[in-house]
Amino acid sequence: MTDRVQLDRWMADAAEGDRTALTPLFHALWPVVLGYATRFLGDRALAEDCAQDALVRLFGQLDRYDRERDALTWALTHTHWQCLTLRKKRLRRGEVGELGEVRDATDARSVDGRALAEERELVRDALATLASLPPRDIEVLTASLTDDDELRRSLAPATFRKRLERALGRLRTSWSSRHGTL
Amino acid sequence: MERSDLALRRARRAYETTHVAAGVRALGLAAGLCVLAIGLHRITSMSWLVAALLAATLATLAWRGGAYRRGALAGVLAGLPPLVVPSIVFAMSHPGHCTGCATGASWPCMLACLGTSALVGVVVGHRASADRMPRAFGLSAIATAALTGLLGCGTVGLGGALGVVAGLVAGGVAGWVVAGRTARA
Repeated sequence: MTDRVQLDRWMADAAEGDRTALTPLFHALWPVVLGYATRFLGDRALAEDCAQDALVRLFGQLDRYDRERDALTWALTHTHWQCLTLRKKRLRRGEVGELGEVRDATDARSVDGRALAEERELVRDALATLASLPPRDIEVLTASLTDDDELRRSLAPATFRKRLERALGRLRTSWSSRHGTL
Repeated sequence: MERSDLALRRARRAYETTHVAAGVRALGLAAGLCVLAIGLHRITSMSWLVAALLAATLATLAWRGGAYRRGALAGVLAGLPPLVVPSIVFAMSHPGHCTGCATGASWPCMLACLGTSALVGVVVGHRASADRMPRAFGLSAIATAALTGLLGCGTVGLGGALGVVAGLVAGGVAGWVVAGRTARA
């Protein structure tokens, strides 16, 4: 796998308008993004759609890339959003019953019990870390994950983004103090 | 065709679409500057040539992206004072447009071109030295600032045109040097 420093460099070069960095950047991101989407959605074909859409969006917004941020994290954030959107679309079309059912239906056979237990533990830890944050941070994080338009409408986009950044920073610090760095 | 190849093609297209849109916006900006220049100055065939050059340069640099785009936009801002100030100076000393500029530019106009260009040149040079890609930023900024300034000062005659270019280059170099020394100190 390409190291993260190289990935950051390609992303920064592409953001600076260097077209030669696009192909290596894409080839470095594609397997990671596809793997994430596959794990998230549990369906390879759906994950390919999702990874493609996520990278198309990402490449369309490359000139907004903030060099202070980690390129891989930014790419995975895009992928996560795209996966959520895709899942919601399928839910709306009635292709799945409830949130998470896509994954449960297709992935149940392939995921063993140990992985499920680990994942449940991870979710529990994440929720506990989230609960330790101030209520305003929880509100902003929840709004960003659930597309809560009410809070977004009540704030200017820049204010919302800054609050979200601060909340994510505190969440990261809280997680690191409990579980160390990833 | 593999799925990843298709995705790469779509991603590239999205990237280029964003850059082409930036180029088109830059053309709009160039059109706005031309309207401003027409309102403020007497327009000659040289002005139209400068306007076409400015539009092409702005669109190309905005399409290229990164430091070139940042520099181009900073250059337009830097070029506004040389575009506006000579007409203000002339209006303060004579009523109406710079009507006599075709035969010979007035000294106040030429000095205004040189002075404002030198001042904004210092700012551009200083700002360029702080950019991640100072050379690209500086060159783009000087190019678009000179063309924007020429839309105004070009109508003052050769003296005004030389004033804006010399002022920007001298100011830009001075600003760069000062910023470099400050950073080292």
